[in-house]
Amino acid sequence: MRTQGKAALALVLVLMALAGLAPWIAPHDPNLPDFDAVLSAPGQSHLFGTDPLGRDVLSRVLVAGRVALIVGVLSVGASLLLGGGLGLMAGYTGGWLDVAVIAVTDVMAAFPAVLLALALAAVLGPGLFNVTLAIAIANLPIFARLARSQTRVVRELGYVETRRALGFGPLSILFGTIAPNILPPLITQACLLFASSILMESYLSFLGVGLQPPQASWGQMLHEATGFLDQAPWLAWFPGCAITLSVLGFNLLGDAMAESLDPRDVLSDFDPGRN
Amino acid sequence: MLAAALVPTAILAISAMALAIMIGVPAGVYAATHRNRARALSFLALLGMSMPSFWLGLLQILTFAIWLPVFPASGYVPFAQDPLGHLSHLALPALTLAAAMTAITLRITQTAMLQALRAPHVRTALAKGLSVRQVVWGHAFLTARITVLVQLAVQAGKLLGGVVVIETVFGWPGLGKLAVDAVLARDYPVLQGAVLVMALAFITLNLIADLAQVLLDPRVQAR
Repeated sequence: MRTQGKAALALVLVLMALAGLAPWIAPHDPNLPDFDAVLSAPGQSHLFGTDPLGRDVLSRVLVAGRVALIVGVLSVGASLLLGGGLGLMAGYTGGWLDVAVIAVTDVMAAFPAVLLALALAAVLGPGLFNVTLAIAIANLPIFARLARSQTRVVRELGYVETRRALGFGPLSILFGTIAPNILPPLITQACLLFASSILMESYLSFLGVGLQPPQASWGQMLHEATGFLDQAPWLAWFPGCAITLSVLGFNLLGDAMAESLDPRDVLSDFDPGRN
Repeated sequence: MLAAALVPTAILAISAMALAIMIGVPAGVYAATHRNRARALSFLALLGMSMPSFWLGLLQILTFAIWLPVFPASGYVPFAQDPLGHLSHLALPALTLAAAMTAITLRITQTAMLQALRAPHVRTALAKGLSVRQVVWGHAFLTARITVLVQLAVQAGKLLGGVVVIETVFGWPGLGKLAVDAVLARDYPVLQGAVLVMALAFITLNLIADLAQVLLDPRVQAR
């Protein structure tokens, strides 16, 4: 458990460092074509090979990682703040706000998230900001419902009652007492949704409604690779590995956090191997 | 247009789901009852869930259509026209879609079984001297399968989301490809139709799961 969490954290930190430092550690200019080295296989001068325009795949994978990170941070941050805030207020006050939040999230939950993001991206148009917005909206109901259900549990607890009796105002109770106490499950969910937003961005970019060329993104690199599968399979290997590794890292981290919050799930009395 | 696209999507989704249940449920029960192997299995499952399905699709095309040309890389042949051709075209997209679903099924089953095995009646059954196999499949699994069913219906959204991309990769003329083509052509009425039909399918699946829960679980009463 502990080791898994630490390993996941290390993996995530390494990936974030690589993505964050991409412009400085990339061996070549990610957007500079080199027509003397078109579709060259992975080798010494180009560690991950080159694409149909002779651009260095390693540099593009690194720079695309930065984009994936930006989309992930912004979209999850936005939906955490907005969805979490809405759920918090709905769960605490009840009444019409609660009814409205439940109704809207119910409707949104009827659409599979990828499909919702696809439709939103289609309406909003491509580009970094619109993709981030589409993913943020698609994830919003998850945070809203989680925050609402957590708040409904916490608001009945003794220490909230005490604060109220001591004369603290509703805003102070909401953000000073309840919010910090429902934060751990929300952060865990944010970690898992970070993984899924990286996946979603790659889906959208792969389908052509996400980030547009020449901006490098993993999904869009894989889209370009589809035309060259038989000649240049390395175009498909490396961006896919990058997506899988980053999603795996955040999933492992989220799992480890969830386990540390809820130890019941891992402990089992039943082990026929020992009986 | 939508109706014509519904059939290929249904074929793809149902065969992937069937594969996922056939592999994922036994594997999940195994992971729940063999603690020393559970780590490796859950890691595999997490890996399966972390892989973008379209990338897995590309890798399958690379392996089974380019290096070892056993299956066609893309296309669709109606079953009535050429049953064998239909199945060989179905193989790669169904396997790709099933991979992620199997991973999810395994995790759901494992969690549900771990919970079910903690119930007092399981301990009683073991104490009575029933074999481990009888207890696992005859007692614990009966309670676990309800959770598995409901959770699978909830996760069906992921399956439908996967369909969208997989169909595009393999040129499978279903709802997902229709939706993506509509997006690229800025054909909003078709996009709306495809998204609505998929949402409807998702809601119907959840309704069926809720109704099935009433049949399977005597504690849940339909009113």
